[in-house]
Amino acid sequence: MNCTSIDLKEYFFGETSAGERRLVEEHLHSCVACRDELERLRLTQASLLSVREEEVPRRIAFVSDKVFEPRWYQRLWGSAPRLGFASAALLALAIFAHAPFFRPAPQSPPVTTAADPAAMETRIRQEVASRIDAAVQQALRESETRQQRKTAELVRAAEQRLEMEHRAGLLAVQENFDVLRKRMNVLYTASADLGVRQ
Amino acid sequence: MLPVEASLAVAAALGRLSREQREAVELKIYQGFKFEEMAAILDLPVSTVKSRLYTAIEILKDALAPAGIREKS
Repeated sequence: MNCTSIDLKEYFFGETSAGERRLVEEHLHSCVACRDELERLRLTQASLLSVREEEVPRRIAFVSDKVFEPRWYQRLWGSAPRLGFASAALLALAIFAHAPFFRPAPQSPPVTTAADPAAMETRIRQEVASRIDAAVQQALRESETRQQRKTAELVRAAEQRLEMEHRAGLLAVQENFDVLRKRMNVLYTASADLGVRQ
Repeated sequence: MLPVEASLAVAAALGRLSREQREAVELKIYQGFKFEEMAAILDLPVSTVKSRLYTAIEILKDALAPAGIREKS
């Protein structure tokens, strides 16, 4: 028996019949090269067994988990139009909340008809308030159009992402199905083995 | 080799295998199935299973136990 006629890997995996086993062992006694080869195989197996393989690629999918999605305040902070809209809304709210306290009641001018400066002041206040209102409305409209544009972009991006996720999902389903089929075969083999033993 | 280095080396070596070859290594080395059982599990002839495993083990051997290096502890 020589090096080429023996199946060292079959021997290594313990699948050689008893008769052949003896022949291989006899050859191993006399052949340094084959002993080295067997040693390397054992070393390889030992390395492999020292680390249990995990399915690394599947972890990549976890990147799309909720944890990585920005919070509402992060999204607000990260988007200038949104921040603008929010501050404009706050400003408008402050102005509207403020108005009842500082604008004189409508009944007061008739009472102080004689006091011209008071009427003047009221008119000035009304003028200022209306100008502020107009400015706020303008700012609101602008930020709303910006917001709409941004929303349209976001929707488009989301649609693209959904499409990609859909495809990835289909692939994953196919892969899982394959794995399940193989698991079933494992069980089938194991149960057949049990049947033989009984 | 440190445990971390060993695990990196093994991961890199396994990364060089095809999916089918990794499957064969998984069933044989890690799960300990016989060639015939592997063939039944994978719905393939024994010869195909053996050749996949042998090719895989050659690649792994070259990566994890290169010739000429004696790393016997």
